[in-house]
Amino acid sequence: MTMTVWTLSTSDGPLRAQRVVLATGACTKTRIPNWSGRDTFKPPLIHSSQYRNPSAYRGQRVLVVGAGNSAAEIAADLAEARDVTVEMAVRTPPTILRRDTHGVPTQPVGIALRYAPPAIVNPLGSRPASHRRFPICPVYGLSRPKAPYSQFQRTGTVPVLDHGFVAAVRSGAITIRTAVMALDGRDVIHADGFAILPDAVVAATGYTSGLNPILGPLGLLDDRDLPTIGSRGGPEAVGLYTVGISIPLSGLLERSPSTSAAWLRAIARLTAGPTMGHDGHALVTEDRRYWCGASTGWMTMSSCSIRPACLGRSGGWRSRPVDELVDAIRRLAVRGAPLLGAAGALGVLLAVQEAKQAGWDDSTAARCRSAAAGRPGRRR
Amino acid sequence: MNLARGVDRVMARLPEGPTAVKDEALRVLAEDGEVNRTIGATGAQLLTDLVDIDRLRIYTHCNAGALACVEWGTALGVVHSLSAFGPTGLGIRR
Repeated sequence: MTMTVWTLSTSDGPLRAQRVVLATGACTKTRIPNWSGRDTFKPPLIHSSQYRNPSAYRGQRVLVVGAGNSAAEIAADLAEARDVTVEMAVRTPPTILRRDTHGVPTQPVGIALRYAPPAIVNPLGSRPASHRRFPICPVYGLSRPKAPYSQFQRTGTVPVLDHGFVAAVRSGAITIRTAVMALDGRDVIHADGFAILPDAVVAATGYTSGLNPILGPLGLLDDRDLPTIGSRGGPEAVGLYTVGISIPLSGLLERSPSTSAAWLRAIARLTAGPTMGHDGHALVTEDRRYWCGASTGWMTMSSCSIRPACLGRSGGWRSRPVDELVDAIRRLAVRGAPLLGAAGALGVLLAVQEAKQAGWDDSTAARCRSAAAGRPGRRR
Repeated sequence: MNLARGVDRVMARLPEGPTAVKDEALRVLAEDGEVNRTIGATGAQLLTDLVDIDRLRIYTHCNAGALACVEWGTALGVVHSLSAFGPTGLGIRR
């Protein structure tokens, strides 16, 4: 008999919780690719988060690596300084959108398109009309992405909102190069074999969630180090949730407040006492009302009914939900007359859901009865 | 007692199929919440009618809060509702 209980190693020692909400952000750690020869590279190499202004680069040749918003804005900022030679290494050509169209800002459009299918959204970024406005590709080394929205979904690369970047590329102030393949002493070697000798490199190569040490061993990260479970949790890790650790097209600030507020309300409902602890890494709620909580308790239970909490990492059923509930009642994990009433009601529902999966037969009623008597039912 | 009552109530809907069972189970939960909030509101009103809120001191034992219920709480639910009126001196004995 096991209930899913998470043990967290924290700076304050171990914490046990039945629900864990990770809300540590998608961009916690800076990321610079481990280019071959990076340790031999002599010129200053900084991450875009360290970039402030062009003053440090007067009269220099600067390579900006990346094609996201940071890269485009830093390149444009450097190009504006006139006496800086700006080059940009682009691996995946970005979708470039105007910041606004006739005064209508682009960001809310992204929000509105959040749930639209790719077939509708894709043409918007590569439509010939907008392409005519930005004829920077392929003449200037930027080929036009074929399906920008699918690219976003696949790579998490958000569109570049143009702040003068396009004009700088068209005027020749920014030279587009291919992706960085290797560094060697003072040389930067590009994917097409071309090598340049920049005085400085700004790596606008993004961020990671920094969750690899925590979620990596559990197999809950995708190839961009973003969690595969969201604020609604998932059957693969019952009781584990993440809030705001994603890169939505609409921008992080648009969605996170509502999800986090919903979570705070849920936590406030669940914690009757001072059972909420937190450290730098996780917000933890120790919730003993696993089976019979209010709305979030229901959420956990419904995911149990699909693939129960007792499904071990190694696979296979360790026990059945009704048995777990009965066990929880016997261990006095479910206490209090009103809560027991609710537990009984949900126990019947669990038995019915079990029956739906395993096939309805005479034992269903017996298992319901077993919930009433507070003892495990006979197993088939 | 409550356990058997909860089971029986939902069991009665078994012949009507899984959806009816789910609806009934969720109704049991929702009703508990409603009852708790009613207890809380009534008790809080009564106490503030009887005693000056600033002089109110509450002593309780046994967990009669949300931990024992679906949400809100019974006896502690009154305190829960009272918190809307202002801070109250509260002693809890386990």
